[in-house]
Amino acid sequence: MTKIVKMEGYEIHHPKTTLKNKVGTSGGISLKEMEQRMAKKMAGLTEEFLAGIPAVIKTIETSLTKLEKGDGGEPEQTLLFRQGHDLKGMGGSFGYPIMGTIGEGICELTSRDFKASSLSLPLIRIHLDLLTYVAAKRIKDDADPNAAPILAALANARLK
Amino acid sequence: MANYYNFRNLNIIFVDDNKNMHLLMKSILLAMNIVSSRGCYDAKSCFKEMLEDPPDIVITDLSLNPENGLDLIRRIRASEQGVDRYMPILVLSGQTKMENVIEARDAGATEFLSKPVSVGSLHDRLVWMVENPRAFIKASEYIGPDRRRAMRGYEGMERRQ
Repeated sequence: MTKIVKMEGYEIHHPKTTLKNKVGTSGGISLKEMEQRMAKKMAGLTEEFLAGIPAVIKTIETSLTKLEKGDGGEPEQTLLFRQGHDLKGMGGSFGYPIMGTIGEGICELTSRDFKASSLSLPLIRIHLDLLTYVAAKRIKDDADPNAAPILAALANARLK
Repeated sequence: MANYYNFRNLNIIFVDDNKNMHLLMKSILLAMNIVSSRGCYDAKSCFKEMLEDPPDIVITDLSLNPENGLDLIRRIRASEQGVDRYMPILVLSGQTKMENVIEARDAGATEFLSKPVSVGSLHDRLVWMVENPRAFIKASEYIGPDRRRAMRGYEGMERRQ
């Protein structure tokens, strides 16, 4: 039974069931062991992630080309934002933070702050080219010797 | 012998519209010994799953398709279709601007974890949620975890007026 304390204009509820009822402190495994388990699976998961990147590139290419030709509008902008958003979230999670940075850049360039008619399409095109290059060369992060020019290009492809 | 948190009995629903995130989350949860987890691609299927077998935690992205993750949180807090409004909700999102965090908090999220996600980050946040249960506030304009104690990572960000 939830304990309810009535205050002036609001109530404070204290639910009886908390996560502590379900999570014990015995019989568990260490974080180190969890990480070791995860590391064993990560290579396979990363391959799955990378296998999906050509489809992402194709989707971005299709939407961007439409916008460049003047045939696109808000749906294409939304699609570009979503692809950027997914890349931003997943790049780092799958060990490719540089893809996450590219995704973040696409998000910034396609956010709802801009109308579809006033997007900086050449800058989005640069992001797409960089994504294609990074995926082909499998550049993970700034430790890769090929990463420096990519990061420099990304820095220059931001809105001033 | 050291004692470690045992998450095995947790039942989790995660909501994300991306297939790769499902693969990743399932693997992370399994690595943490959480065997009862279900992935949903949208709010509608999340509600269906919640009604069939109520979870202990919902982990949701903010950018869902077609429904917004914030709407999902509000619907849970409103106890729509009789779901447990007190359910802990962890937002896992790549939308990490302060305004996104505040929106999630004001919708009734319990905690916020930014992507990229790893076993370590999820483990730490779950431990935090276990050790720091939050009371709920029910007011005319808000129902959800007490916002006077900010979400982890944003302690002291704002206090309830």
